Amino acid sequence: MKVIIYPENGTLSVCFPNPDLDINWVAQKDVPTGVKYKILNQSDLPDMSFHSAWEYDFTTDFDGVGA
Amino acid sequence: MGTLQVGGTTLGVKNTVTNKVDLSNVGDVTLTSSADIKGAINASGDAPIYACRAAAHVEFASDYSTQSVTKFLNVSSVTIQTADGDQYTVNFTTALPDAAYVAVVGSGRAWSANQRNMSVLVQGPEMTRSTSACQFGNVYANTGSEKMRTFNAAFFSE
Repeated sequence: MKVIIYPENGTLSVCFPNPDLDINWVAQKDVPTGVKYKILNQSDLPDMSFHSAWEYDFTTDFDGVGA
Repeated sequence: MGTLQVGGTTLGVKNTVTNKVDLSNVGDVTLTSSADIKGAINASGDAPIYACRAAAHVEFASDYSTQSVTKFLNVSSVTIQTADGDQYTVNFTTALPDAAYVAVVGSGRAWSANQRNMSVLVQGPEMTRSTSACQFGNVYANTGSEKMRTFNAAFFSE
C-alpha cells in the first residue's frame, strides 16, 4: 500500500489514496497546488504516534508537485 | 419473458424469473417523475429520499502505521494533518453539487482493556468544507487529539 506525504503548516500530512485510483492522479489532485510530495510504501512510515515530529527533506527528493 | 417496446422498437426484455427488465441495449435511460423509485428501494411514506454522494471507511492497525480495510465511494483520498491536533480531510473524486451537504461522521478509537478513552471527530466552521473536500477536527478529552482507529464518514446532498 502506497501513501503520499507532503509538507503542510510545518508538519507532514499523510494522504491515504483510494486504492482503486492511480496514485499519481490522486497526488496531483489532492496535494495542495505547488506543494512537493513524495510517494512511499506505507510500511516505511515511522510510528504514527509521533506523526507531529516527522521530518522529510523535499528539496531534491520528491515525486511531483500538487496541480 | 416479456418485451418493453416503444413505437415498435424493443427497448428491453423482462426476465420473468428475476422480474427485472434488461435495458443494457438502450443506453441512457431517463425516468419520469412518476417512476416508483421509492418503492424500488423499500422507502415507504411521504418523506423524501436523498442520496449519499460520497463515503469513506478506513481502519488503521493498532500502531496506526497501516491501513487494513478501506472503502472509498467517490472519495479519492483521506489525509491526516497534525499541525493543530489531528485533522482528517476527505477529498472527493468527483465534486459534490454544492458545499451545503450533510457530513455524517462516525469515527473513533478502539480500546484495549481498561482504556476507554474517547476521541470525537467534529466538522465545524473552523474546518474546510467545500465541494471538493471536507475536513474534520479530532477532539480528545478536551486537551488534545489522538489518532482515529476507525474512520467513517458519509456525505448527503440534493
